[in-house]
Amino acid sequence: MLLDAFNALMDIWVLVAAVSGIVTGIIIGAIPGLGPTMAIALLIPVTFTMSPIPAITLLLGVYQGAIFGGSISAILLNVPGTPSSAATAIDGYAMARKGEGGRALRVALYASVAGNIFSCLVLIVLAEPLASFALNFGPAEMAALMLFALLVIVLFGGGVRLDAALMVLLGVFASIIGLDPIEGTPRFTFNSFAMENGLQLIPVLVGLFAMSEVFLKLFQKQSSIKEPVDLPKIVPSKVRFVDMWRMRATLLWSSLIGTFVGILPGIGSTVPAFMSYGLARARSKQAHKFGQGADEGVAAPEAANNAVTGGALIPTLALGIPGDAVTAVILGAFMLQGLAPGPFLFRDYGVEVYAIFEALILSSIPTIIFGLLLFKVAVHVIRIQPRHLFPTITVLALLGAFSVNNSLVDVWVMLGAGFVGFLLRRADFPLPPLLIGLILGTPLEQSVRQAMLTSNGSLDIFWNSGIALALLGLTAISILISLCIPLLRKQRQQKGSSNV
Amino acid sequence: MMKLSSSKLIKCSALALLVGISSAYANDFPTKPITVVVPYGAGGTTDISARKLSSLAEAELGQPIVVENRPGASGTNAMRSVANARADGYTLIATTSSPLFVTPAVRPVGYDSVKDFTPILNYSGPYHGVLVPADSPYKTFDGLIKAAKSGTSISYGTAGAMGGPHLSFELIARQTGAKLKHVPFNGAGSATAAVLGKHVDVALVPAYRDLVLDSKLRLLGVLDDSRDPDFESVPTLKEAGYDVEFPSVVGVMAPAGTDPEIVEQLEMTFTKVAKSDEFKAFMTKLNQPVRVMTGEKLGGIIQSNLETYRNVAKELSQK
Amino acid sequence: MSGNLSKLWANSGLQSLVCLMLAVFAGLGLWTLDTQVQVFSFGDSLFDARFFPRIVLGLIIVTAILCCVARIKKADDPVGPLTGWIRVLLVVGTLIWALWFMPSVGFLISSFIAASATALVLGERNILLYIGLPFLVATLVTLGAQYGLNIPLP
Repeated sequence: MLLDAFNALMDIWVLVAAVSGIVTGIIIGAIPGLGPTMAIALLIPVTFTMSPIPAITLLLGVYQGAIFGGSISAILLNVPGTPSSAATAIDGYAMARKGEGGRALRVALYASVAGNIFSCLVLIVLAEPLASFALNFGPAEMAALMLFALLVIVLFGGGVRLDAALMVLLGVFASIIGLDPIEGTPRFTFNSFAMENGLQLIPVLVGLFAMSEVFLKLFQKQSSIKEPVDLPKIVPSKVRFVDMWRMRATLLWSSLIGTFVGILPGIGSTVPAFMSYGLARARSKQAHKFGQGADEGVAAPEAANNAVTGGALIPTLALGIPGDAVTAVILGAFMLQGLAPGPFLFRDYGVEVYAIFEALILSSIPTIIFGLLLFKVAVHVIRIQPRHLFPTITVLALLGAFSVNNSLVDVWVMLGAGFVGFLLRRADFPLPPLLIGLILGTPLEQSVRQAMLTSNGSLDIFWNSGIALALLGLTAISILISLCIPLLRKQRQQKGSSNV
Repeated sequence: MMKLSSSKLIKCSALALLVGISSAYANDFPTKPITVVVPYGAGGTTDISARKLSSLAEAELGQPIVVENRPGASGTNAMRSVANARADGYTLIATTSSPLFVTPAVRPVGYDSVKDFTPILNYSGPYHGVLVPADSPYKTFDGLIKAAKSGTSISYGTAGAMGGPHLSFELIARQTGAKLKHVPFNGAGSATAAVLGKHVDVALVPAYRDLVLDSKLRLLGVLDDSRDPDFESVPTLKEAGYDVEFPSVVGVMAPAGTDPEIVEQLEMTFTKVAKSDEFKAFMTKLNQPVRVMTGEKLGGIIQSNLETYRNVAKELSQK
Repeated sequence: MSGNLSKLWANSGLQSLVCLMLAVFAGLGLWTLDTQVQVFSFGDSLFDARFFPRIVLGLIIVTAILCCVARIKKADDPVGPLTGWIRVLLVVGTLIWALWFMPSVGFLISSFIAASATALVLGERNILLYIGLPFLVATLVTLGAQYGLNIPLP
């Protein structure tokens, strides 16, 4: 079967489709606000007349390209192109400021490819059993998982934990605005129809990260234009295989988290990116280097958010149940090609499907080649004077916010989020927890209330589920660990000083 | 020479303007691109089917049709903007049941789906089924409701709060006194996953064909006003003896006040392409039915259901 | 006089200010909760539409106050120079203006004005770079979005 599939790939059009998909994806992903959903929806009409394998290869190439493309602007400009690359920005931008932008980009690229290949292999080997396993995650289990994710971000995300907690809460509150997920009644909309849609993720992201960056630059501007702006230098950098091999455990863990969270519906790629960042930081012996430009701080979120692509395809293809907007669009594309996702997909169209998976893995090669070529040009972006660069970012932010729903309300939201983000960044509050709170707020509330509805208001539903219990246990353990680590360090330091 | 032609041009354009205003010249319609608004995101089934229908109609009308996505607030944003658009036949909307007669019945939305729109035709509408896991003890819809009446609490998942399926089941619970507990999910996909994982007893969702054929789920009834052609043996809820239906529509509407001649022309064109073999083959691939209905009939469905759902919502809020 | 004012500005802490603002907003939210959140109950009493917002708002107040308390001993960051704030507010004002008129003047012009204002406030004085470059970018983005990406810009 796998060999037949491989033969089906030997077609110049598949290569053309893969390459053009990846390039389009990377470019669209790099523009703040324009993400994979839009890129794929845009290309679907193009694939109407193509044969199934190149058509789907093109679309999945766009998906992966867009997720990776977001990291380019995150690393070089501190403006994440997609929500999931906000985690990459933390250490990636720190590296770019030190002049190691090229190195950060390469680490991100290789980590992306690693995450990608990992999740594709999982998809090929374990799609059906994993899809049925994911069905065990009901409301109670999802609630426990999201609680765990929120805590991991607060405890291990770096920075002052109280500040992070405040930001998570603020994000959760922002997610409450709009229609109630259970009863459908408006909340804090002040009787405005426009607000019923709530604060959408992309406009808030663009505001918090891109627009606030513009405001910060305005605030810090030197009084005279004559003074030289300290632009970072570009240090020539190579990332060798050994460097990546050293991070193998981080890459593996991150890919696992990404793939696994990807299988579950409705969480997306941002949360696993931050979770793996937190995990990598907690596991690292040099945790203090995180946030200052650590290789692993770039590799962990990148491996995770690319691994999500394979994971998210598992329930989409094996059951015909898409987990989020992107996979819903991909589901439509599969159907248009006559490959109806669902229980019969692998039986009826095995050759096509495996060919598509193999194309996904093999497309790592053009991704690397194009990535490296693109970096040669892209790294020079950081040498552009801010007063030339930031007006462009303003225009792109306006466009990005508008393009989500083609609505001006979202642009207002973006502007508001930009000013709030500016205030919070000036006050040294970490923004990523706010983003995570906004993403997880609605699904967390929804699953808790769903669980309570199905159990008639009894909390037993959490104790009766093995998965939920295990996750709650993990949450408790992480709280303990995070409390103990500083104590242990202190002891070690004391020992160290007494030895001297 | 030049002067003459330019003055001619002005006269022509003035004439064209007059034509645009006066209805007597509606036969010239269309003279510029038509916009079809889709109230959901690009790439969904409503969007893809509307795009196909439009591209087929383009050839008939001789003008391009631009599909514009205006997602958000379960489709009401797009409906509101089209309700306020100029009624010249150049702005249409391809819309579905929920923003037409479910959401407006539940809360203020800023438009009236009967008074503010002229229906053109209905061309699709996915069947919503009552689904239980294959190893569920309930073999028929009647058995399910009987069990719920005799004290077993049955939970049912839907694609979201206050949707048509939710309100229909709420109505059954009221009519029969059955204990039915609603658990809303974020989209039909999550509700399907929940019933597959047995987190809820029943799911009211569309797009169930392959999961039923693979005997992962069992179809007990159809919420629509007619049987699903893929499962001819499964009755509708009305046939099973419950006075409830949720007719699923996907239709094209124009703002109210559009010239009747233009509406007629659009209805003729869209009906012709919706009935074509090419459209049917396309929709079969998408796993969507083709259900062509006249604008008049669609208007009737909207009006009667809007009333029904208003009553349901009123009753619910009084509790 | 103005020296004193700016001194006052520079000495009050930004973090505490933000924390207090958040606490006040959360308090306002709790206060308006009952009018802003309708409950459309289907029988369950505890976990209704107000349950979650109430908990979150309460927690925000508690955490914000804790943050303030935790910061008493540490030195806050200064609010920063007044000129910096004026620069930011200037651009925010322009953006509000540009957005307000966007439906009537179109995306191209308003985004060009926004970009041009940003460039000017950032200290660009070369007319080619504060008029020409933003115009070029705005045009490219508008055309690309409208024809390349199919976005119906105003």
